[in-house]
This record gives sequence, structure tokens and C-alpha cells, in this order.
Amino acid sequence: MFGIECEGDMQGLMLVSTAGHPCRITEQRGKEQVYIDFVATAPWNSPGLVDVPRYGLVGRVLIATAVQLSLEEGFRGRIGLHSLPQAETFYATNCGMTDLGKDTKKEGLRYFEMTPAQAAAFLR
Amino acid sequence: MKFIFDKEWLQKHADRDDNLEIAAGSFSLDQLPVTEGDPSDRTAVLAFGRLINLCRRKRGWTIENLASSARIDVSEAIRIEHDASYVPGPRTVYQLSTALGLPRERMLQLSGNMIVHDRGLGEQAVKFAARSESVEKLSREEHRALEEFVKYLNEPR
Repeated sequence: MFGIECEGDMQGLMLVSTAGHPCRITEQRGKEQVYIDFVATAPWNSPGLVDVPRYGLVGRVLIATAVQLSLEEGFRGRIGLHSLPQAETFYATNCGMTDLGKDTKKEGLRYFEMTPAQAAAFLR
Repeated sequence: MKFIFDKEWLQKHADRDDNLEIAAGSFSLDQLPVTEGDPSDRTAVLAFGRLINLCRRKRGWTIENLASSARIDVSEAIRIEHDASYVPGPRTVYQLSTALGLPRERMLQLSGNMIVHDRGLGEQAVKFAARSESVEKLSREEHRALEEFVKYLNEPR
């Protein structure tokens, strides 16, 4: 589990798994990756809940941490997650992840995956 | 763990990331907010399907237009409008609410995704379902029923 703490408060939290979630994109199917079980900002940093979030970039720092963990584990930056509808733009556009569509086994949330090339682009 | 990104990298992306949500993982679903519920009140689910049908027709949209705007499958859009036993998932309800400009939390309640202890909503749903028979063109009565129900959904509780 990873967290970002600032001014004595937890600003964002991420829970990851390094096993049990093999990649799904054809070019890397079956390979190991870091799967993000959960990631969220604190409510006061969420643009959907407050007009002026206290801290930005919480998501970027947490996703970059997941990519870094993937590199350190020898997974070459491969990560995967199921995005909530309101966060799909962040993962598709800002993180450059591949959208593999709705996953009926995960309440219909869309599944996103990052390849090593996409990880390198994300960190640039 | 030594971080491979720095302040400069973060500053470079700060503007792009502004005002974007990041929630991921099915644990995050409570942010919708959703609770498990048995949609025992089929009238509310029926009213949900009717509401989607009328809102779509009011805009002059085909089912394909609706599915495309909400980014859901056409087959699911058909089931929502025609199968009163079908309970769409939270994502679908969220997408439909956004596409049609309807209040998300009330739509989650109406669709059977949240337990409701709201007699008013139940009564309004029955009234709406009874008055909104599905026909090709939106009748004046249907139009009035739709306007009244959407107004009720948007009222603060």
C-alpha cells in the first residue's frame, strides 16, 4: 500500500498487487504486471467534490509510483487497473493507457493497461 | 524506493491533470456512491427504463444515438428500455445520467443500485410509470409526466 502524506493528512492512497493479475493486451498477454486494486485522492483533493482541490497531481504521483514499482519488480513498467467512469479520461488520455473495454466481472468498470512503451512515454 | 520522477516532471504535467478524477478499483465504487440492494421494487426499475426512453425520445435520439452518447452497448440500452427485470450496473447508470443530464444519485436509486428508504421516490415512480405508456411520439401527457418526474428527481431531499 502506498500513501501520500502532507500537512499531517493522507492526501491519496493506492493499493497494489504484484501477482495474480496477468496482462491482457495481446502483445503482453499473460505477463506479470503491477495491478492497482484501489487508488483514490482524499475527498478535499477531488475535483468532483470540491471547487478548489487542496492538492493536485496526487494521481500522477501514485501512478508513477506504480510504474516505478513495476520497473523494480522487472515488469518493465506494465500496470493495469479498473477505472471508475469519472476517471477514464485521466487513464486514457493523461496516462496514455490502453482501454480494453468494460469488464463484466468488475461491475462493468473499464479495464486499462499500460505497456512498457506507454510507461516510458508516461514518465517523459 | 528512490523516485524516478522529479518536481520538473510534475510541473510539466500539472495543467493537464487539473480537475481530473483518478479513482480506480472496484473498492472505489462507494464513491458513486453505491450499496448492494435487492431491487424488490420493480416499479422503480420500470420507471427507470421509461424515464430513459422518454428522455431519449425527447431529444429525438435513436437507441444507437443514446448508446453512443452514453458509451454503453446498444444491446444494453435496449434491455434498459424494454426489460423491467434488468438492473444495469453502476457504470451504465452513471454514463446514462451524464448523457441525459439526470441526477446520478437518484438514478442509482431508481435503477435498483441503491437501497432506498424514500417513500416519495417510490410513489413518484409508480405515478410516472403509470402515466408514461411507450408510444412512437412523445404525447403531451408523456411530456408533462416526464417534466414533472425530472423536476422531482432534481429537488433537494
